[in-house]
Amino acid sequence: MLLLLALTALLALTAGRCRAAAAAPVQDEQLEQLDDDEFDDEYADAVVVADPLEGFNRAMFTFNDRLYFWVLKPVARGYRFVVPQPVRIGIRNFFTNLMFPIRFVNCLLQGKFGASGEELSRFLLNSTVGLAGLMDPASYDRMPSHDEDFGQTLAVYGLGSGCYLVWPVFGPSTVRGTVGLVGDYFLKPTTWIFAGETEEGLAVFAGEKVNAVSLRLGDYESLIAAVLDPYVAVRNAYFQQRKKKIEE
Amino acid sequence: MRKRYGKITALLLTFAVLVLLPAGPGGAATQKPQEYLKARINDVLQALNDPDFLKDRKRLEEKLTKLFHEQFDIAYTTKLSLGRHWRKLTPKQRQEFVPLFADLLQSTYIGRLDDYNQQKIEIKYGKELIRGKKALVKTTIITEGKEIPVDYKLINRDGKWMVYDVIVEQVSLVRNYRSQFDDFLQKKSVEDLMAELRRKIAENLANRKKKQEARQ
Repeated sequence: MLLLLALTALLALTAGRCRAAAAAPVQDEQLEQLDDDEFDDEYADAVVVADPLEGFNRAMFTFNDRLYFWVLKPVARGYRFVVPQPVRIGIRNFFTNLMFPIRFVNCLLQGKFGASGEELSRFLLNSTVGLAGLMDPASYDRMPSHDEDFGQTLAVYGLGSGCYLVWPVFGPSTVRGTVGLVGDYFLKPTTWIFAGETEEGLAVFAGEKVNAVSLRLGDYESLIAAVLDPYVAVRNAYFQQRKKKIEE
Repeated sequence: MRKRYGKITALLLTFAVLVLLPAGPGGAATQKPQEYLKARINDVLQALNDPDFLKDRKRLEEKLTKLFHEQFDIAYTTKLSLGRHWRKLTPKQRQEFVPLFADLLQSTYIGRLDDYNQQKIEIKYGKELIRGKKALVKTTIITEGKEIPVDYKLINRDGKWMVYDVIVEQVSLVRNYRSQFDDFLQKKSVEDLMAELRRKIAENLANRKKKQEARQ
């Protein structure tokens, strides 16, 4: 709890710094002057990122990169070799289903009552017919999932994103996203199931992570092959995805 | 009075152009962007599953490279990815830059297809939006229990719909490269950027070779 308070204080401090940085105007030269008349720039609304903590963020990014190549990837490969794919997909579905309270509560908080109803139906169907969530029959029934979280809720309430932050293990985020992660932490059933049993909780967290990585091996590698600067590419991808999710 | 007359002429002209152009002689009958894209994607899937190509990876690679150039308008993708920096390039630099960027995209695109192991790929075609010369086609790729939304932006070039941007899981390729090029060019020159592209392409080639040798 003390740690959380310290974290919140740190966030409040960095938020102040970020706002100052974000206020700097973006110099975009007149695109009309390009020598091509069909160059109507549909990309002019680029997401502008305040990243005053780039030094810290890059260090954390490198840490996560090493964590992937040195630890997660070898473990996930071994795991993939032993556990057949349908089982791994089942485990992923199980955890996705288990995290239902995050999506349900945040749909409600954003006033998306239809979506929260759909989430509830999905949860009931997948938990019963779908064998405790191992299967995802709701998706076959064309019931879409609504990937809402507390960070998005705060965005809907009008809170600015604050600057970009990269956390070890958790990866790309912002000040607002981090507060969202802390909020969602209390909505996770695993938080309450493993309350007071840190070791078991961590083991389950690690297991879920390895399982998820085993289904995505190769993605990060091809990203690195395609880009000039993985740090800038991941930061931009994060902001593009967040923007779309918040708009939805 | 004259002004009004002009207006009517313009209206008639516009009407004539609208009605006559699609049927006009030599006017390539434009396919719908979605149909066009579907045919191009099927070409790729067919090549990937062709038993003849499976035996001869070099021929498969040549085929995929050909398809890549037929379906992408790389010059336009490059222009958009460089954004405001495009203006700073001399004509000579532009001529050098476009094929370099094409090589980088192609090396990663084909590298990705190397990992393909005949697993089932299903593609669902969703909405299609057309605005003037440009179109957006939404698709979902379903493979190995994952649903990946992939949207294509296309531009009509003489009746052919060419892809100029791919949006995978809400991330636009053009936007992503624009952020990288912009970041790079704020610190270094265009020549440095081209050197970096060359280095990256060589690195990808070397990595692929290593991977292929390991497979044999």
